[in-house]
Amino acid sequence: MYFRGDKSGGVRLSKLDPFIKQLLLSLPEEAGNTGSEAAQDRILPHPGKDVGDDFMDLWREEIQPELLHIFQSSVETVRGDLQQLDEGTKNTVKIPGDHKDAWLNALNQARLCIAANEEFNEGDMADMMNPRIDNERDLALFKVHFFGLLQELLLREGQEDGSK
Amino acid sequence: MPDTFTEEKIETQESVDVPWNVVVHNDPVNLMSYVTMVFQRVFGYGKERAEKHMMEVHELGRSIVWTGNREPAELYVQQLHGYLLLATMEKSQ
Repeated sequence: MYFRGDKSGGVRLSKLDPFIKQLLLSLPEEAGNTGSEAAQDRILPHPGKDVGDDFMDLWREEIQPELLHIFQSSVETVRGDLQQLDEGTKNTVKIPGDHKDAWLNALNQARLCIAANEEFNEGDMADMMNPRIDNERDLALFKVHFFGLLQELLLREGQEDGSK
Repeated sequence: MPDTFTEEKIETQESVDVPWNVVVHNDPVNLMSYVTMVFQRVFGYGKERAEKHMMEVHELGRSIVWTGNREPAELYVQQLHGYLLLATMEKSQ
């Protein structure tokens, strides 16, 4: 996989092999996999124990739906960009500059949901880029690290944009 | 007794304006570089200050990233949750 910034502030992921392509295509589903209690708790954490019942009612009724809307909107932006891969032979994705935040958010969301659903701990997360993928859990951990690598590359690209 | 009156007034004011801390908690998933970027964006911190708070989160498990009135604290927590950080607000001790 090649990762390269373009002059318009966007990013191009090219020469995607079939495995990497499948990982990318799974991103919207993984980011939207918030059904379990663990994932819900992580995506929408409690704002604090001192806040009071009235504030918690407001938080549940107004703030949480707004946050979910932001998260879903990011996922839909990424899903739209990934449609470039729908034509079977295509192995390049262009991420426009104004979509980079949505990608960062969706990648983070996917990593957090996978980690919550698989109950990954500090030790699991420190097992960086374990090349062995023998089961679904290994694949899930690999995805968390691969999506993290993409986040890191997007962040570095953003810093380089800012320094120009 | 004007001195006594002044003291009572200060105490009342303090009870109303008790400051709130915005606290970010460690989690094993969020990238250090991502957390630093979020602190820069949400609070407008320079890179050095943002990294200091990020390292506190990483090494101590939590960092008080902002202290002040309740209303902006609520907004900051909301923004941090929008970036998927584990953030809470608590009364300052």
